[in-house]
Amino acid sequence: MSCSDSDYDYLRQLVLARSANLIDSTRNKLFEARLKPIARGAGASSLEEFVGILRDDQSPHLHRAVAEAMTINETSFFRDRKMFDALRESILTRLIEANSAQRRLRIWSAAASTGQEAYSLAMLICEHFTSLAHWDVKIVGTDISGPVVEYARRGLYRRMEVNRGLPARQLVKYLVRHDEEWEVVPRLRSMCEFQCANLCGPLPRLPEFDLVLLRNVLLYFTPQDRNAVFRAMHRKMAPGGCLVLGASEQAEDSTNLFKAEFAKDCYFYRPVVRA
Amino acid sequence: MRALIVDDSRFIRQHMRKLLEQMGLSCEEAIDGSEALRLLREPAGFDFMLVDVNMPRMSGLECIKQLRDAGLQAPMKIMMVTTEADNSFICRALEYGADEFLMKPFTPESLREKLAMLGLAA
Repeated sequence: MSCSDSDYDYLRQLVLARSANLIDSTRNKLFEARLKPIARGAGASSLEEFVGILRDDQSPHLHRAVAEAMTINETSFFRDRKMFDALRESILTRLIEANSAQRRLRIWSAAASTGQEAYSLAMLICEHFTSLAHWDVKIVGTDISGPVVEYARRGLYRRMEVNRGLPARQLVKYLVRHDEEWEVVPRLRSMCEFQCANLCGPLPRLPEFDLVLLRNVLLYFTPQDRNAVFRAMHRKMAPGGCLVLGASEQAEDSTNLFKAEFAKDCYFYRPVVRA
Repeated sequence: MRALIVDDSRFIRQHMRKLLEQMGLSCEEAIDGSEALRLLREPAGFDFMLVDVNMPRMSGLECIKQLRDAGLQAPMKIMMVTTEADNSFICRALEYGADEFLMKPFTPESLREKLAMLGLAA
């Protein structure tokens, strides 16, 4: 299912425009792997033919499906344990202290993928911050892909997924087995909600967040799109809030909207308070 | 760091040995619980034991129960690696003295993550 360089360039531009996800030419094979099912669904027998359909048919539905299929959905429960340790030992502790008067906490898992990050946060809170049982806590997970958001909402995970990153004691406490699927318990599900959102487009109605996790996303964006995302994050964050990026990401942020702090082997970013 | 792999399947033992050696552990093998107990009574200690459940002569559960009851190799971490996946079974394994649980089939990443949880890998 290969195609010409100009076809790859067309796909690259389409994905970049729709989702700000930059697939460089060293990863052309990813187009073939990810777009095969959509191409077949559209009646194309080759990627080249599918690009022809995309060029002729500007229907937003098909173009959106291409952008969604190219989104990286690599995730697992408690992915990067150091970050969760930093949340438990420092970042969440500070936020909880700062919010103790209003007893309210809003957390955004901004590239939630299939939901494991949001549910891991809910587990962390239930396990280590029992005093929050009577607080108003909400974890909002967003992702660009509708099917992925729907998967997160269902809260049902397969064997290979519960085998990744989830300690056995938390598996038996927070997930219930139904044959070959494990369902997140209602208590955690009630703390989490999931919505579709394109970080580079107009965002849906969202609350002001105390903690934002935006991990392993920005490395796929152009510098211009990264800055647009930083501006959007800044608008959605409470003045005393914290932004956490992926372990290999830094806020080389030409917008100067955030200042870096360090806690337990983990960088996080505070919004510079607006004048 | 030394690991003991306890599984009646030669294929599984070889697979786990390969993965663990890639992570820097040296490995010994046992084909069931009773051979594992014999090796564990020898002076050279182990840091980690991966143990299957259903094996001839002595099951994995019986093995870890006897091991913990006898106080053998107390600091050693034990992980059950099995196709059994009922929550009630996992709870029983933890009660008997297992520290972690990995379902078969598993990926190298899931094994590495479990080792990290047990403080045996970065």
